[in-house]
Amino acid sequence: MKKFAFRILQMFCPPDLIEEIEGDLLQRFKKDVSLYGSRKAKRKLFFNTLKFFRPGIISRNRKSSPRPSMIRNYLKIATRNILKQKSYSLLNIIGLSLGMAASLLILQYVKYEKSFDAFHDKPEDIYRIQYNIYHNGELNVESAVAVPAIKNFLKSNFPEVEEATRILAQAGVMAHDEVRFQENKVFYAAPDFLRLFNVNLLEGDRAACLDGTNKIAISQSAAKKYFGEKQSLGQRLTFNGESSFEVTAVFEDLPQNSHFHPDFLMSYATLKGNDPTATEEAWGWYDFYTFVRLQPGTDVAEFQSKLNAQLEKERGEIWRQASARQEFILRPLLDIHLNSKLLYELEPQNQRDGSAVYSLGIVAFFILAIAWINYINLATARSLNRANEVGVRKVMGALKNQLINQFLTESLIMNALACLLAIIIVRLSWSWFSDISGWNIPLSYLNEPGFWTLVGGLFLAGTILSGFYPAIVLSSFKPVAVLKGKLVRSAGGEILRKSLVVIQFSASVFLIIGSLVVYNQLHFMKSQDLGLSIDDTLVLRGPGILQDSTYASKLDGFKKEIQRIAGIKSITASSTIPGHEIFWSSNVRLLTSDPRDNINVAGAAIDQDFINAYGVKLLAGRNFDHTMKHDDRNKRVILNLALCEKLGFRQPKDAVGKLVVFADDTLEVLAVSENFHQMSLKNAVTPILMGLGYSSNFFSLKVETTDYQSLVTSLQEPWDRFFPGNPIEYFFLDEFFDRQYDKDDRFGLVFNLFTFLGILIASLGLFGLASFMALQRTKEIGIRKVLGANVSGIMVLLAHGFMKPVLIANLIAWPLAWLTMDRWLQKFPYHISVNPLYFMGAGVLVIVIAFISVSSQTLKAALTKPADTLKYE
Amino acid sequence: MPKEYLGEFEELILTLVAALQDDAYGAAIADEIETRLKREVNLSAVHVTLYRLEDKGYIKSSLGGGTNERGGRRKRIYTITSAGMAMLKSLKEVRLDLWKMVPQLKLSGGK
Repeated sequence: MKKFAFRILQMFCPPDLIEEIEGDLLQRFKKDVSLYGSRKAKRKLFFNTLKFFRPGIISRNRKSSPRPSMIRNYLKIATRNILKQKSYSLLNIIGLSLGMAASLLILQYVKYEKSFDAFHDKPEDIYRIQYNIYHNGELNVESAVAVPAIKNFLKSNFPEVEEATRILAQAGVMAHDEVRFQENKVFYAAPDFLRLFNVNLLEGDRAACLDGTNKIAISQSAAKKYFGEKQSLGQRLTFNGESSFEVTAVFEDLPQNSHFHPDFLMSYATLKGNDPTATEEAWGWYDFYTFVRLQPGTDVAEFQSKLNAQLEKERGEIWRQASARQEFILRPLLDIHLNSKLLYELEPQNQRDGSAVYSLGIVAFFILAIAWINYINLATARSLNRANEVGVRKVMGALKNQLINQFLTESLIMNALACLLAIIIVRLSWSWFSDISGWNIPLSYLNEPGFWTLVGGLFLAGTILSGFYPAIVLSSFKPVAVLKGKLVRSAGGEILRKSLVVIQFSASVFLIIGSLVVYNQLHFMKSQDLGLSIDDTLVLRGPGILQDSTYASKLDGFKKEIQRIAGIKSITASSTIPGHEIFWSSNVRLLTSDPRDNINVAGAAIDQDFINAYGVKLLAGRNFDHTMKHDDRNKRVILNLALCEKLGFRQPKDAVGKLVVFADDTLEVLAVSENFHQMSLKNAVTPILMGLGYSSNFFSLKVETTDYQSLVTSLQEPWDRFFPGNPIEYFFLDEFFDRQYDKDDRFGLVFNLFTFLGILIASLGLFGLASFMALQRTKEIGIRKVLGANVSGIMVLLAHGFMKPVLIANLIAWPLAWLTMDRWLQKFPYHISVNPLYFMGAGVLVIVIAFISVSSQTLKAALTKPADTLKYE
Repeated sequence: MPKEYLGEFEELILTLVAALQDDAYGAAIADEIETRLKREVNLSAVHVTLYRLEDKGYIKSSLGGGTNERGGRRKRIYTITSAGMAMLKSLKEVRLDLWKMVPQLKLSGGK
């Protein structure tokens, strides 16, 4: 590191200053080592060294540093050159600015996605406990929620744990007098929650507001919703009609870049009152999001193994008896948003796939590279025009360095203009872009210093990367050869130009194939048969306030009433609906099998009408009927095929009539259903066990009308009669289900957009190159025409030179795209295969685009009358 | 009264060069600022300011000895010139004059 840093220093620092600067840096480094440890000190040394890259150092005592008059001259000549060839300059600037704007947008986005949860104090020291359950050595559950006991276990056994908290998520009806809403961002939390997380209290006392029973802290937006302009502190809220809470604090809503957004925090002691052992000491049920903050500088890997050992010591015996194992893994808080895909995530719809986000970063790089290559290509292609200028300058005594400065100045001006344009584009398109991409990043993000650093970085990198090569090439012409007119296009330059075109178009082809595959995969997932029907289904959220002994008869009455309404085919009550993650899971096994052979299974309560209403196919056995009651002594259940197979049955009909043990109950298998997709096709079908039950979670209505407005109105009256005090909330199931694809759709859209931009920029470059080549060969074309060549022959001749790199680009991009996209598709349990048609399609598309951008210029050249081009000779 | 202005940071560095005497070089000055003024400072900023002050003629420099902790590399020791001293003095006097204009009553009887 030290050597590397000093080598960089030597690159830009005047030699007579190096010794003292290095000495000071070393001295500082020694001090930093004792202050921060050697790792951080090394990093500091590196940055301290970089900070010497400033004009006050670089240009000090340099004899060669350009004098102001020279700089003025460079600027003047550069401006003249840019203005002299307006269309060429414009092409360049537009290409560069589009490239920059695209990558600015993407990089800001990536930065935003990476900023999640970083606003807490010492976010890098905060971890969430991931809970894994193994049965017979097989990993059955990987969950974001853990058992309640682990929190105290961590806090009391390990001094490294600075703070620990757990929260329990709830959903239900929150009420204040007549104001009632269904709320699902409700949590039980203890005072330690506010000590661990940066929740800004606007009113109330941080230490006391969650201490004690029946207290509630609410978010600012919740306060507005329930109390309007009134004072919120001291008001009362009732949750699910049973527990009443006093508002003791109001907190600022958590920022958008938080992985969860609580609206209500109810004091944990309220929950504890019900059953202290279950909420503090239990090792069985797992519903608690558990977070810890470790002492700064704790080695997590070491801590993890200490934790594992301690768990083994205390729980090992119990595990062996059940032939199970529990694992508690510390996962960084900062990783949750991009890299966590566990069961029961807090807000899975807001989480992002880290690799998708980073792949957009790669797209940004591609686009930028395409834009820079344009500049390099056009600049070197024009070198012939500038050759005479260089020759004359050299004869007059210009040094090579001065010429390099001259050409770098041009690149600097071009890049500066492009930069300016890019900022304008980003500003103007920001909100529109935020909308279509669903990113919703506040515009204020553009005022942060980070953005301007990025702009500066792109500008500098662009100037140097795109300007340096042309500057070297142009300044190295030999004046004698040039002025004699001997300088013919060098073969090397030609090859380089063509290879750069190849790179550009490989990137384009790659992007096109990528977007084709993404689009088709999304389309495939949405058009697959789910195994049940989600069309024309209106879902009512079940009543939260109720649950007394009369609910069963109430539900029957309500269902009968609803069925009478015109336009409604059927109604069914269930604990879950397609697209709704099942939170209720337990173990199941055959009665005859070893008690330790447990299978993790999701449970659902459905009524007699569910199977028919949703059109779920039964492979064997029969549906629940009305002679059966949900509280029958002999409970019967329906399994899905996945579970049937996991239990070891060859044929579905073998399972019917068998007894299974589910969560300590013995149940008889009534039927086996075809597998259906409870969740989107991004998830594999998992075992599900359906029992007969009167659930109050969801009422699904199959409707036959399009007049939803009057339908909903006619529902209101019976609803209020049967379930008074409950707000009616409804949604359409297909929309609800497809929301699972929302972020994929957006991602696809954004990907397409940037693919389009990339190709646009690449073809701009090709267009410029073609027009330039055609210009150079005007005389040749004239002579050919005089000698009898026809227009099409000349077009082929000219286009030929361009089509070859494009074809080669296809050959390079195909295998790369195949490998990448195949790997991407493997992430989906249900996916398309990579179709050769996509490759052909992308190839043809690129060739057509390239041909169009080339042919307009070549056609013009081919149509020019030879007399016009040759008369000056 | 000199015509030239000194920036706040330049003045600080100049004062420290005068104060540290034989031990006035980049790293030592940076350390001094951090410990005494509790102010984060960029090593490169200190260097650039020192060069600038030297260009303006307020300080002069010579290479001193190297130490082990510097990997044997020599220090550039700065000493204040008489022009620098005059500059500092005049700055101080101006400050003092201005300070005297602040009503003392307000200071003590403000509360």
